[in-house]
Amino acid sequence: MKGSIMGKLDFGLGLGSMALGIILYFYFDSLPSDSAFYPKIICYAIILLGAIITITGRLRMKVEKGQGDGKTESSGQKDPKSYRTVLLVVLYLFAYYFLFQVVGYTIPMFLLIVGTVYTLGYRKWKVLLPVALGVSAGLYLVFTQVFRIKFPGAFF
Amino acid sequence: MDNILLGLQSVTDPNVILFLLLGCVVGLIIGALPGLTGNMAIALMVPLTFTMPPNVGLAFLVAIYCSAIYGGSISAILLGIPGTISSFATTLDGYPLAKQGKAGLALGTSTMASVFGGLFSGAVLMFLTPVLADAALKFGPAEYFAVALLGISCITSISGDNVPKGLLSGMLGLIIAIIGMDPQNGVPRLTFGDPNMLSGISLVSSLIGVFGVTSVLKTAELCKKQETLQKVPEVDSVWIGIKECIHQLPTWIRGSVIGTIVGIIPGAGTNVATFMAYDWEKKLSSEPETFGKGNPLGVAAPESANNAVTGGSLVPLLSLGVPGNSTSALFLGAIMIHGMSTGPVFFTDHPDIIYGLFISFIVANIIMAPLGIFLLRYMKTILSVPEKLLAGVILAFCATGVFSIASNPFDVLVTIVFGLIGYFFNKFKIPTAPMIVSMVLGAMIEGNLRQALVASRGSWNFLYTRPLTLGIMVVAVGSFILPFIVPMIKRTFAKK
Repeated sequence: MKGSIMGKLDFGLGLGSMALGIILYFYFDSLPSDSAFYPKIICYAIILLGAIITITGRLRMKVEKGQGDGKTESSGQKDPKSYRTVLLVVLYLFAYYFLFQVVGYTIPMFLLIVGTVYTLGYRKWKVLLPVALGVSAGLYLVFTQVFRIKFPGAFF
Repeated sequence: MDNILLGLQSVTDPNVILFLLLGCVVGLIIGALPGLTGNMAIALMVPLTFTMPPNVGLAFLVAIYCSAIYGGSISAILLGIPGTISSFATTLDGYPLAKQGKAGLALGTSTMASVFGGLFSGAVLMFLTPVLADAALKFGPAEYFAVALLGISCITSISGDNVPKGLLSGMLGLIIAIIGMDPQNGVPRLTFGDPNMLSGISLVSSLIGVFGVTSVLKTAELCKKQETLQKVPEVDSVWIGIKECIHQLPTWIRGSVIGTIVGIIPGAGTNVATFMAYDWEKKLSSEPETFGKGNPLGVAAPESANNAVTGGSLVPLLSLGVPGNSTSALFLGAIMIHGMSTGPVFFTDHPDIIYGLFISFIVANIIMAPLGIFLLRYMKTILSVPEKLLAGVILAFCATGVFSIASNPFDVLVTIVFGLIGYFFNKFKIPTAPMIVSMVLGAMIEGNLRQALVASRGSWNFLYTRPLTLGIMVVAVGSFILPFIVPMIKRTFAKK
């Protein structure tokens, strides 16, 4: 990659870190001085490191622009579909988090496994369904019967 | 001696033996599967240990740790893909040996060298840790503050090639450690009015997110690539014979010494040890040209070194309470969920547990040899499990295990959020290890700094008026700046 992409990412990361450091500094400034003293030192460090990363990112962008590294940039870019897959897996996780508190453990877990594995591109249903069923039911039984854990939700 | 007997007594519990065996199997399989790390194996299993007695739970984790490092060599030899990062150097000679039809010799060498390295570091762990812990009994808040800084100074070493990003990761870890109530005056910090946040962020939940969920998200990003199953070569007899063992013994000893010393140094890492051992062996060899083409000593050196790191890395954690790497941070999490803490008090309060841990460490390494040789027969099947199918199972373990620790759904949310943090860190090429080490040491730094300042009436002079504090501070500063100095020295010599 990636060359200039990394330079841009670093530049953004540095600016973001500086902003985070400043926001946190003002937040801690509103607390009693003995509680805020140590966190404020860390905020200074975050702002300073953010500045260093911003400057190095900017320099990297300039150097790579000068070298005409545009070709590497395009070749280093990932297929947007791969990010869509990541996003879907994250959505399944959040859906599981909300669902298992209402519906119970086993059904959301079964759906989480099937959804994730299918989204990743695995299509052998004869393997996937028994594995998903076995893992979700097996974990439920082990955790409730052996470890005495009580799961929330209406159903099992 | 009494304590060692106490430890032996603890290991005679059939449950400990059973979970040592189970831990070795789990670690070996997870370590052998490319993409799944030993850290992830431990992170997934930490919640399970919550319901076990501490001696059983810690024995289980120790067995996973040792055998996962060994398991990494299996795919390194058979597929040319290291199962764990620590087995990277093993591929250099292990894979060529397998291609020459000598997979059995390579695997046998790896098994024996790993066992030797593990046993060597286990002995060092058992005899060195109590001495250090005894010395640490004399420490006050000023010394503990300096020790915590020493632990955190390793950030520069574990930052990879971008130290500012590593330091940023460390600072973010320190901020995360602040979340919750101020332990001294009860003021809530960064809790956003959520009662779940008052007790801080659960270390285990966050580590499961960083190791488990992040690895699944990385798999999701790369899943469009065609999954090609490599042909696993046939494995002949893995027993290398007494003569070959004697021939390799000096290599095992050198690798074990390097691995143990590197392991004790916070932040030095397994990779450093394996490449140092490999490089040293090549330099000492009468036929260095055979290295990289299938020399069994090229397998023996890194394998004895990486398993020797396991014991060494637990020395600073158990004696001083300072984790030097992510794995020790996971162990700390496992110890903390049982309401115990590491450092000198661990030795005085729970000698049975800590000596049980030492003996379990040694027994796990002994079990590893016959188990490894037995399981190698089934490796063809194990290595052909699709990564995509495993990803779903990993998520199931993460989500279930994390909930079971405190029966609090909030922990599941913490795991998901930290999985995302780990993924974004990976995208921005920010190392996660400094954040983890800082999260663990954050409370220790702040608490002891404030106590030391109170004791010295607000003056910072405790840093240089107390000889022990000053000594540790000097080492900490040295450890912090060493990664900057070494390349400069190398450049200067290169110019000359």
